[in-house]
Amino acid sequence: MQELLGQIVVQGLMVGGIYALAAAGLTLIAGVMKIINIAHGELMMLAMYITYFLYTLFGLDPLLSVIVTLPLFFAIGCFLQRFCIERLLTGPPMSVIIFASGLIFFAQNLAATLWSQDFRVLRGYTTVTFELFGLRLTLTRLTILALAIIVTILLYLLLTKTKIGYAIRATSQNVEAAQLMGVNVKFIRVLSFGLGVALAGLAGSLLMTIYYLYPAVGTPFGVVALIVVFLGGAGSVFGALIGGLALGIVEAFTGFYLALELKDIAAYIAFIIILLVRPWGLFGVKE
Amino acid sequence: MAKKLTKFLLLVVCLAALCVIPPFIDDPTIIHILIYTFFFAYYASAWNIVGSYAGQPSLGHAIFFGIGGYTSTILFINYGISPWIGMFVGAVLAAIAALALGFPTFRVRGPFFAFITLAFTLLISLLFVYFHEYTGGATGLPVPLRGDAPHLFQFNSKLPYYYTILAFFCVITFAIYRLERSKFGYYLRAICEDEDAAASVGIYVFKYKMVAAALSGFFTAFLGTFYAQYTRFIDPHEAFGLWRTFQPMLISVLGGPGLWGPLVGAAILTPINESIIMFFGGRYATVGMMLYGLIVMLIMLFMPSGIVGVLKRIYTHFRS
Repeated sequence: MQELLGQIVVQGLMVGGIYALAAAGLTLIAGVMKIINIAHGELMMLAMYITYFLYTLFGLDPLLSVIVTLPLFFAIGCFLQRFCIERLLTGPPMSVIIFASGLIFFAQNLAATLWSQDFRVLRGYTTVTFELFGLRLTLTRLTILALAIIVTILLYLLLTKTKIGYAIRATSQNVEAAQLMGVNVKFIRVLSFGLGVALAGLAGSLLMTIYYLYPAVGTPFGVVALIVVFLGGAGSVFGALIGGLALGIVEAFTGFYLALELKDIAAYIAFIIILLVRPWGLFGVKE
Repeated sequence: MAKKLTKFLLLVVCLAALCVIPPFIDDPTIIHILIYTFFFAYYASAWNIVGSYAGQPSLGHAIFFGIGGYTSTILFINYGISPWIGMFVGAVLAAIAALALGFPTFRVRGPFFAFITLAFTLLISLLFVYFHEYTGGATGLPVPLRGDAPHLFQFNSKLPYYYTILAFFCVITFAIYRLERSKFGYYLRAICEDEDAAASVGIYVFKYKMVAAALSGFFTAFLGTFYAQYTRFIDPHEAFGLWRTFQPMLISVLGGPGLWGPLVGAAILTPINESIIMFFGGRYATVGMMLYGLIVMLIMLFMPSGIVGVLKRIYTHFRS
């Protein structure tokens, strides 16, 4: 019984790692700009396709393909912020969401048009499974979990120990004050959005090692990332890690004890309650 | 006065043309396009009551759509009740659901309102998959075929469906026309502009939001029944999917605000989408949706007032 419980927790943690990674980029953007990029999951999906093709066409290991996806998605993010989101920030609060929903349908159907609706997996990419203290562990999933933790720590160090990080946090706290202190707010926004999207690219590349691929694959992960951001608090990088891991564990338990179809139910209910009680999250900074 | 009369006459002529011409069109594809144009226009119009007039960007309307479609279909399969009657049962249930949904969610504002209604849509979708004894689960419910049975909302040709959806659209457009000119309509627009200011001049904000939600849900459910009867099928993906969730908001944004915005938005989307499928085949059915996403992005960037807004600007430009 105890081993079973342990196995469920481990399973949840290993899934939670990918949730935390997916949410890391989103929470950075949400913290700096107070906007939610609901197309985050679709950007992950595009990164998955790139990783898939790098592997099948050139035999590049999916873990190594981040050297392509990270800079590429950083550039995409900078472009999106500089030429699209920046214009929308002054408009009504819904405009970013509507724009991003257009991006969702554009990206999903672009993928479906170019690469069809077929399900794809990395053929011939095997993963090592081993036992430790009676628990079954998967090497790729453990790698993702470890990377999620490393990325969170790096992000935290970036935000708290570097000049750029000071500027990012200043912008997220008070735009006018940051401007008065000589921070180039526009540049910081471009940088943060680029970083956030680069993290979506990273998450997509890593997700490809453990998951199958189809044009709408981004949606469930985008929703999960959204929930994790609200759970952990917008802009809180450790909140995203803890929220992601917690969500993974809760899902594993509801999936096991209630029904597999209901594995998301706890997440949705938690999401509703948080939005009702404290929209900017449990750990987040109060508005 | 004369301007009002010409407007009215123009409307009558258009409506007469829409009633008289279609029977002479031999191509069922064109009728199909017309059906979907009014279908989407109706959906966006029903959404507009809450989304545009009251300014609450709901992503929960797929719930009312699904309730409408499932209620009439379940009543028909299990009790043999005609969908014409089931449609009204569904509409009443959807109105009740809208009130139940509005009660907690209307406390939340702006983008958070969009997220919380989206969360409810996801939750309801999950429950419809789980309770598969009643709803058919993920595979959905087929509507039993009864041949040409007008009293059961089943027709052999597309034409009767066209007249049904046209009538639906006329009813909702008239209802919104009346709403625009009623006290209630002004309350809603005041709430849309500034909730706190509206409350401070004595408008009971919460109450009028609830009434708007109930009305909007009531109208949306009819469309669910229509969809189930026309495609003879309803499943969680069609009822609560991502596209169904965002559809009315995006059409409304594309068309622009006001009475005719939804029709303009739908009249642009549907023919593009269907003609791409027609010319390039089902393999490229996704191209239309891709273009649509792109158009929404461009509209948000370059003309936030929608196509109606642009047309108005061109019109006033040439007048002066």
